[in-house]
Amino acid sequence: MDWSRSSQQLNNTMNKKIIIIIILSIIAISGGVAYYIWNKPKSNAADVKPSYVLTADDLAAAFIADEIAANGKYVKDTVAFEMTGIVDSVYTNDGGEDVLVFRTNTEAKVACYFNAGQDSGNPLQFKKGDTAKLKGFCGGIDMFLEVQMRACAIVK
Amino acid sequence: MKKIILLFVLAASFQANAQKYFSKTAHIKFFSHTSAEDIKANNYKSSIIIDKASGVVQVEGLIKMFEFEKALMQEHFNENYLESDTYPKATFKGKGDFSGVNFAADGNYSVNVAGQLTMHGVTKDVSAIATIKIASGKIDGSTKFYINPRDYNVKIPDVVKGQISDKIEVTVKATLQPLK
Repeated sequence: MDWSRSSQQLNNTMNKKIIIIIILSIIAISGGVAYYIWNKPKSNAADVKPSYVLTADDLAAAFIADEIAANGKYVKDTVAFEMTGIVDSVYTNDGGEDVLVFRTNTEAKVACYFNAGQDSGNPLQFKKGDTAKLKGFCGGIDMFLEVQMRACAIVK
Repeated sequence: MKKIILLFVLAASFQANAQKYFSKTAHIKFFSHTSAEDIKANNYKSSIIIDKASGVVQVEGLIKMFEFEKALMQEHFNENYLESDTYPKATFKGKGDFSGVNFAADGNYSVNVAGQLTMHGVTKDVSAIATIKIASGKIDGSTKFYINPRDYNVKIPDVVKGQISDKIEVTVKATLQPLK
């Protein structure tokens, strides 16, 4: 009788310990996940499957033809591009972002911005007239007819 | 010699007649300060154009091109607060009296600019003092004003209300060039 009671007590303490360990683990894991999500590094488009494979000419032409329609189709966080074009210029802006500008066969240009301080290939290696291929997301077109691409990564 | 003089006169008159000034690399910054957290977003690829004759000022920034320190903040800003898939631009259209500003000579000026700021599908009146500093031919324009996200129908969930100020500081800085 005594023996079985003490065995039950032992079981109870064991169960309590296990429950405490489980609760602590859940807190630690969810805390870790929350911390990771909060501090999640900025990603570029390098590993994103492109929704559209096109040329800088194609994208510029779409915005020149109908900006509102192009915004609706292309300016989305879930829509990535693989784009080929002819380089007009490369530079680093005041925000420390590298910029690769494609000339196009329209009056618009396509400026591709690379996250500062992130390895996204080396856009500055290109010279005017070179052909470059990259991935990125579209931010829209500005009043000087510059189509802006963000989080870009060089493919080739 | 006459030709050279004529060329100089033409160049000088062109300079004096350059009535529009612009920048494609204007810097717009949003800054939110609370006791919990400071949050800032930068866009170094904004557009500005000033027409000296008419006094019209236009500023434009693409919402998705704002860069935050943390990826998560940038996601929330785009997806939940400013809904940039639907409203991709913030634009300001206004007027100021630039008639007293001599863009061709060194000097400092303050110009009151008033107009409408459209963001997240909402248009509100905004006014601010713009500072123009001209030194050795370099024209630097800047301004600062405050907006309340609620005025622009930006819904901030209760959970993060303490982290986002209802007085967002907006700074615009640009080095202006004559538009040819």
